[in-house]
Amino acid sequence: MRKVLCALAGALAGIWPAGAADHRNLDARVPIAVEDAYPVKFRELTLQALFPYRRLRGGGNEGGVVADLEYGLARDVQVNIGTEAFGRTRGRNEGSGDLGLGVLYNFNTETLRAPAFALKAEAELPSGVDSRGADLALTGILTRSHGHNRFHLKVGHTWLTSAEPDERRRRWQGVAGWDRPVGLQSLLIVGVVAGESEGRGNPAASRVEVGLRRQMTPRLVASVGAGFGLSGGPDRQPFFLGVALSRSF
Amino acid sequence: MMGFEMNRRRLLALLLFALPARGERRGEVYRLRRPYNFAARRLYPALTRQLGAAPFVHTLPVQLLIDKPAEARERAADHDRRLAARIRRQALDPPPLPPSEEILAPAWPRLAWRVSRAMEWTHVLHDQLLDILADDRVTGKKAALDEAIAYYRRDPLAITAAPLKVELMGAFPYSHQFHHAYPECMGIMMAYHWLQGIQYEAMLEPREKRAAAVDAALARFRQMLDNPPHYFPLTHKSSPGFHRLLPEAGYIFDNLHMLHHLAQDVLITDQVRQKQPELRRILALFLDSSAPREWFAGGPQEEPPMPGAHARHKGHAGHQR
Repeated sequence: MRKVLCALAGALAGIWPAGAADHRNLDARVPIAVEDAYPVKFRELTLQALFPYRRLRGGGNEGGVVADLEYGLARDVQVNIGTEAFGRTRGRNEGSGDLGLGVLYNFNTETLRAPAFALKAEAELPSGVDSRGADLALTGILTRSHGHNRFHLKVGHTWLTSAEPDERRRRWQGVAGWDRPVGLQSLLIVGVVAGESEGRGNPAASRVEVGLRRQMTPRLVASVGAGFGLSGGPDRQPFFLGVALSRSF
Repeated sequence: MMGFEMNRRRLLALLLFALPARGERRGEVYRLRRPYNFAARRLYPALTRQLGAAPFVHTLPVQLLIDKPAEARERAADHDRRLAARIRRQALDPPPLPPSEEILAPAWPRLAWRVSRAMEWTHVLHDQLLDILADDRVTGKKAALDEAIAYYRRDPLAITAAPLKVELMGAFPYSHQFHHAYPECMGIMMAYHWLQGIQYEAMLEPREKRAAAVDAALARFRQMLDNPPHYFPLTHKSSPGFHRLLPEAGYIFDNLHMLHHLAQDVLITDQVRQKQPELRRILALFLDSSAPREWFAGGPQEEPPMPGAHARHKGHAGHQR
């Protein structure tokens, strides 16, 4: 864990040649689930470090670090690899250390008539604590602007190759989001997440999220976000908070 | 089986969600990743901060012309004064970081993505060449400059490095309409284009004289904000040393400035109803891959006067070269 943090700190401090980051390029969890349909630029390399905290249902806390590396593999194609390490004050750290892989393909940029579309495929591999089976996901993303406001819609389906008896093997999730510039260098983001619960038989889960991203330097973006669950029965997420740094190289 | 059918339908719906996506590919490319990136910002912050206000002059009139085209034409004098005042304020007190053009004029890339990206890509080249010249850690500056230009030109939306005839700006039925309607905004744009040329000349000074050259250029630029050039600045005039070192870069930037000029004419004119195809047609005249040879000038040209630039500047003597 310490090595991961040291490597992140070194990279974020700027050991590698510099590029330019863009606070308008939204990625899931940085800081909230709202995501836009645009990839990073071809040959752009971005390291994102997210420090999430969440209150667990039934008491207890979870905190950790998520590291994600994004790369523009080709024009309009982004690949990413990431992992997360977290600890809980109660229960086992199940899933900590899983490896995430993803590819996002943007079909088009937005025009005055057509929204931007992207398709994203992701896999979470069971490299972490007590982890079994891979989680696979396919997600469609739409971005549409009206004046300075941008609206995002994301619909995804997740398959678990090795579900627990009380877990859903397949589930749907949707995210509706809105963002708007605040001044010249900040972006306010609001989102609503809704979908089938992880637990079999549990009611649909939903939550609201709000985040702020700010361009700190041409190559560094800082984000902060928070959210709380509205529904989901035992799967309702009471509260989460996240702080993230994104640096382009 | 029933559940599988249901999921298959849902998956199909998800794919169909993405399939209607047709139209303009985004195709953005990242700047050449080198250690000199942003060196000018570190070494000459006043200069880069001043340059960082240039997006205001490029985008605020454009956003108005797209959002309210009729009003932008009918009340041009009012809007020109109002926008020019706002742009001057930003130029005199620039923001710490250059704003994204998509934030200032969100409708512009949606109307004409390829033109917007061609301009943005050339602005990145502007930045990188400045960084190379500013950063004395770069050994073999000419090779680094050549490398940056070669990287830039690999993109299909690279602007041609051949000098295009300045008469191209006057070759259309709607030519110079923006300039006549928005002389104050245009004057500030000419001042910025002059600064974007002379910045390189300042960087060619020996290191100990460079800061003074930058200060002198910035002081002259601020005078130009109220007393703008009467002419269309060309890089070989404002920056002759840079032109000798890297003539193709100067031609690219001069062509970019002509493209800005014509794009605004397309937006303001009521003679062109379909803006998108006309902007694409104009862009093709400027691209490396499609610029027609009959518009190649063959070498340096005289800076053309800007007709009508000072219709509302009667109180000013005008900037003299």
